[in-house]
Amino acid sequence: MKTSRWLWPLLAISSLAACLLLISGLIYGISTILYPAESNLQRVNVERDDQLNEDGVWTILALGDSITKGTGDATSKGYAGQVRDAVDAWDDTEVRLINMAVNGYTTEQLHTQIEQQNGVIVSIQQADAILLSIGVNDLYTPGEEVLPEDVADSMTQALSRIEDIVQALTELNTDVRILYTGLYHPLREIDPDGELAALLREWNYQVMQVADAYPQVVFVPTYDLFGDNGTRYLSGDHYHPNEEGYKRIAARIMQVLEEDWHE
Amino acid sequence: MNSLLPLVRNEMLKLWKKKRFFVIIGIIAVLIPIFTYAQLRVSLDRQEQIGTSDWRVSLQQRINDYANRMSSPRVIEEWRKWMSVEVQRLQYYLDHDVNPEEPSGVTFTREFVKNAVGLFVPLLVMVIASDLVSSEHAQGTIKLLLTRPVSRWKVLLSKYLAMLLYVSLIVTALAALCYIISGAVFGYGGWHAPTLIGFQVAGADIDTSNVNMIAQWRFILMELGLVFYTGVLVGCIALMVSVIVRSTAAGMGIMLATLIAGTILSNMVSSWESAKYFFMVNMDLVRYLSGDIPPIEGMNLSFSLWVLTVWAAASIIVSFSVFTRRDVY
Repeated sequence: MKTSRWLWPLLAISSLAACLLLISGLIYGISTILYPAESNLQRVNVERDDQLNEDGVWTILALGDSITKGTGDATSKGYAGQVRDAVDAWDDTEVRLINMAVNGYTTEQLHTQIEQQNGVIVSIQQADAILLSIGVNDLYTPGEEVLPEDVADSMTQALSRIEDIVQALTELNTDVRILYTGLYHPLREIDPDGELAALLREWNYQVMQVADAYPQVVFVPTYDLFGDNGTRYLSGDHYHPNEEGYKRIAARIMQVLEEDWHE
Repeated sequence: MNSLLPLVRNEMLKLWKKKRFFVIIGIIAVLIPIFTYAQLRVSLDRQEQIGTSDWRVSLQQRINDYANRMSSPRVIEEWRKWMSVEVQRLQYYLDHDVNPEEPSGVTFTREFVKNAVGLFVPLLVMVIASDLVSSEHAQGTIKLLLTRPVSRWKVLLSKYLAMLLYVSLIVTALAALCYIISGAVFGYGGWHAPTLIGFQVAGADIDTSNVNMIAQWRFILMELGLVFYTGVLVGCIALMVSVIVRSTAAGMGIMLATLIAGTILSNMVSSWESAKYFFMVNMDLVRYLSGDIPPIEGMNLSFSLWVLTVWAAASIIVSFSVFTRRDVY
């Protein structure tokens, strides 16, 4: 067995060096994990950056609850995805959709999200249009008994938060177009006296008033889209729209955007 | 000591001649380009899907994605917990403006080594260690070895030392090759990229009171140290098997079965609490550094280190007592 003379010294030195390096890493690692130092990290807030909007891409940001998320749509596009596809078909401008909606979000959660999630703050500044649906989860929980007195109570608070949300959005991005999708009534069958219907109409009316105070905000009504035979446009849970239902919402939004686009 | 050094030298050179180390380097050199390419595809795909190259936006979307999946009532409790921890950890990165996946060769190495500790590194160690003694039986060279004027325990100890040194070489070579190959695609920078450590998982929540920012090279150094410890443990167990079982194929089979059973167990033992005393469930020490959720609630670094050390010590005692007493014919 012939062995070259330098093999053993080379092997011995390199493996010994590797071994010592790894042992020191091990000791360093164990001591760092077992005796961690007190954290001294501070939250970093994203700086406002007007360059973000100037990236040449037409950005649609979707914010809010399950309606904007697209829950119930078999293609999982939702109305936001439909709008994106429609805008994309217009001309050569590159379009992107950032969907940050979360199932079950309330106005309070959305407000926190806008104030605190850095990724959301960045995308608000990138956005050319914001699609927004929020509020229904403040009013009632689907599947649970709906008490009109409770709905009326939570409405006042939720409405003032809507105002805060719009305020925060327009502060971050002054020229963004904000499209608020109004509430519809999916529970007509179990609301024969129309008590909830009255409250939902009241909600829509109040939000429309907020929208009127801001030139960027448009209220998009959907109440009539899911009328008496509205179940045809609802998904299996009898609550969220289905693909066709979302298409109808998207069509409304496109009417607003088209008008903007041609200006 | 005088008689031990030549023995170690002998063992090291024997292993070198068997070309096992080249096999290992070969395996690594083939696999890493594949994973580098896969990683590249994943990041390109993600970028295309989200339509943005801003990491803050894509990370935020991933977080909200988890939040959406958590809201579904059909999600398994285990998953919900995992996602809850992940959401909080990633949001903490985002809140402190640290990109957890800043693309670079160093980041790729960090992630690859982290994923390799559970099965890949143990398998590589096994290639070297699982026939250290049994092959001597198979080739009949054990008699030559034992007829030398040195005590048997020294012969076995020299094999342990050779194993230890080769494990160091394997772990270092893995990291080095990983960096060199992936760096060609992702760039060779990233040594000083900020990395967060010190997340403590408590149930479905995360405690951030001890989170600190360190340079990525420090993270990798600690990570490699922890992987090395796991590697040595696997080496000790493999050596014990090789002492007890005279057939190399049977020894390898036993080790393989144990290691693979370990990875399966780690994914499903959460409700079987006493499974935490298996060494296989404790091999992933890196998770305590990165703040991932442990397979069984309540496991922490000192516990895992104890389990691994007890197993290693027991295997050493068994193999020495068997090796020094066994009749060789």
